[in-house]
Amino acid sequence: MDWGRAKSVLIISFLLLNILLGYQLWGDIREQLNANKNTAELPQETVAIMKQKRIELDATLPLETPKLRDLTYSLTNGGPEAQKEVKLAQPVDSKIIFSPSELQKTLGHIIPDLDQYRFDITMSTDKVWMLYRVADNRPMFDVKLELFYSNQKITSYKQVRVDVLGPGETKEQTVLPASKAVAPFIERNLPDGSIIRDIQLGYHGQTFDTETQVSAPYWRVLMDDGIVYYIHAISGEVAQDKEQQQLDK
Amino acid sequence: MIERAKTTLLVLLVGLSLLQSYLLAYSMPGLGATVKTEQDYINAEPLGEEASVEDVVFPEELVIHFGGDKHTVLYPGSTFYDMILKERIQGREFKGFQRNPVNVLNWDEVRRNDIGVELRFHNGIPVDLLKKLLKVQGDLLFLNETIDRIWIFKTKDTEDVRTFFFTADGEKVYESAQADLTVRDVQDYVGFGEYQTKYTVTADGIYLPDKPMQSVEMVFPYEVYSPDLMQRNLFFDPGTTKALEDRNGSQIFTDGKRGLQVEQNGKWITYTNPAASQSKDNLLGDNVYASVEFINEHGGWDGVHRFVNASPDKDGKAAKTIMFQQYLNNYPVIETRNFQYGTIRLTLQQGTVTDYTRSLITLADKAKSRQARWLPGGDDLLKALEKYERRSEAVRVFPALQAQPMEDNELRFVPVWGVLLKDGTNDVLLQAYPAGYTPPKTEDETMAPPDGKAADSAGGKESADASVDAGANENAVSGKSGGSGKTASTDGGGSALNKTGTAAGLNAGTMKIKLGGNAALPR
Repeated sequence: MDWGRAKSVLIISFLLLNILLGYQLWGDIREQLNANKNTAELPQETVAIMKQKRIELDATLPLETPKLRDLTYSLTNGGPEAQKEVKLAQPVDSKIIFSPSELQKTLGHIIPDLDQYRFDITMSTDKVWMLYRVADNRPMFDVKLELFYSNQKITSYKQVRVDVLGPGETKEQTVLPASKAVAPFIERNLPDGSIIRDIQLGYHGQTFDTETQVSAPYWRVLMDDGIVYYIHAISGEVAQDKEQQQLDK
Repeated sequence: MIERAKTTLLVLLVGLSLLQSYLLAYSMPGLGATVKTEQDYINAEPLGEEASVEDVVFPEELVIHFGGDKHTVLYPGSTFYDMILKERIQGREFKGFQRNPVNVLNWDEVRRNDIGVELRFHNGIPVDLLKKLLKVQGDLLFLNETIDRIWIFKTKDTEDVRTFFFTADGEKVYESAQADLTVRDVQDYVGFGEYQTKYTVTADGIYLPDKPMQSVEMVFPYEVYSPDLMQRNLFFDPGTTKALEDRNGSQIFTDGKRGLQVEQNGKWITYTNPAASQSKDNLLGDNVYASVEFINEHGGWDGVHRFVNASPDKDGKAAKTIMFQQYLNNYPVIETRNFQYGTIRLTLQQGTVTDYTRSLITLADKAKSRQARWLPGGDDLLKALEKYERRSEAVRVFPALQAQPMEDNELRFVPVWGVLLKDGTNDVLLQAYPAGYTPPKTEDETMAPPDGKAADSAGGKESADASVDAGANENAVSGKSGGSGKTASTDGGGSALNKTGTAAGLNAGTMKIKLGGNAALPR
């Protein structure tokens, strides 16, 4: 038997096998590299769909993927519906909103827990500055402080006050990266021609007529026309505010 | 030398291929694996009975026109309703649809003069669903319609049978040019209704019986699914679920996304799972399929239910609310203001259930007690309707049952006249005569019994179910239609009467009714 020849054959066949395996492996690695980069950008297919549906992304996709869990809090002054506008005795300059320290200095003694609320310019309108209660440095989208202003003066406010009871017993879970949460949502939910203005991670939940409320981590997606979608940051399910859904139809 | 190099190379290659295979198999998991797929509900214990779409799609009433401005109405579950629908219409094919404006015929005249039958679906059902009930073949235009009425009639002068499908928007009719129905069929329909109470039509098309109707009051024991069971059934991860208490004292379970509200002392639930609207169409047909599937998995069906199109908008494109009305003993159960029972209501977004309200009650198979009651007819009913405060909104009057909670896990079902309003809600129009009251018999009445339903109802809940099995028996009977059927069934009817001991007022005229009841009786 010609051992040398047999070896040559074996070498060639293993070489071919190696090339095949190498190709597969390379493909996998490339995909993973891409995927990692995808925290910063959307998958190719989604971009194609966005082009086709004329959907624009006017916001930067957050890169963070922290570990979060649900959050329980209790309402201390009634639910959002129970709130009334409180007039300020002395209207104050509306520019202070842009400087947290000045805001605290001017209104801190009037509005309770003011330091716990953070300004969100994307949800503010030409009549209302919107602030959200912050828990673990993340906004709670159901707990609002609205500052009403006109003629560059803040004249009144409306506030939902809560006690954060802290996280529940559930396990912390890494949230879906924004890009991954948003991709199926863009494909399925968004109507043609929409523009995404902002994407933020925070807490949101179904509100019930109870003192204690439970909220879960959600990506809030704000559209240019003011419609807000909430994407569950762990399961990826998409929700929408009831009232807005009705307006929608 | 070369041989040596070759050996080394070969060993190297073998090693490398092993390494690569290992990497491929283990250390480089595909990207998909790290993404948590949207977990579906784990369904450990299915609750209740399952149903299919076929079981929940049927017309709310059949109106039979005798000509000469005489009419009668048959309600689901009554023997003649089943005989006409299941044996004389369901097997037939409807093809060759031609589109016409609704005023192609003078329908008032047809109603008055021509013998025929009308199948009615309030608010209409999509043809897609109608296909589950009837064999319908049509073009795309027709398949996208929503049908609220099917009218089969024989023209007065010619011996033609014409079949019209009315669209829910009230603008078009489709005539089925190739329906395999004969004049004989239509005559049979009318023959079936001959001994029923006659109905009068009001100016706005509400049918009211001329005479009192017998109904039955029942008491049913029931069981309740525990809210705990329901919670496990509806949340995929009970570990993350929190229990809260409402300001009204009802229990709430939530995981921050889904919510389950338990009211009425653990007998009524509202499940909410908000979802966003999607860019594709919200089709009513698809939503009905999804709803039936969802109910099968989460709670099941307690008895017979009928799909009710609760969406007021006529194009049916944005139809999100799906309702199923419960039938007990052939009567729909309507809600009482302070006790919610009788409907399953769902809201969907493109097949995803976002709201689900239902009762947790499961009735026992047999009623504990039953008692004949009479529902007013004729002038009494007409007056009640005229005096009704929301008269202008009324679209339909029908016999129904109202559930009243009793002690010891029992429900009392009291017969009432229900009224359907334009907005799709039901209300009680008129209560039954007091228990024990039997309307005086007129001469006419000895000839014609009140209504087939009354006789049927004697069989109880079990007969409603049994009547399906009885179909086979009825088949044999219906072979001899018309006059021969009447004589053939005389003795059968008599014995059935004796056995059930149905209240007075049912007599010789009930023969044909008892055919069905008879088949369902001795078990």
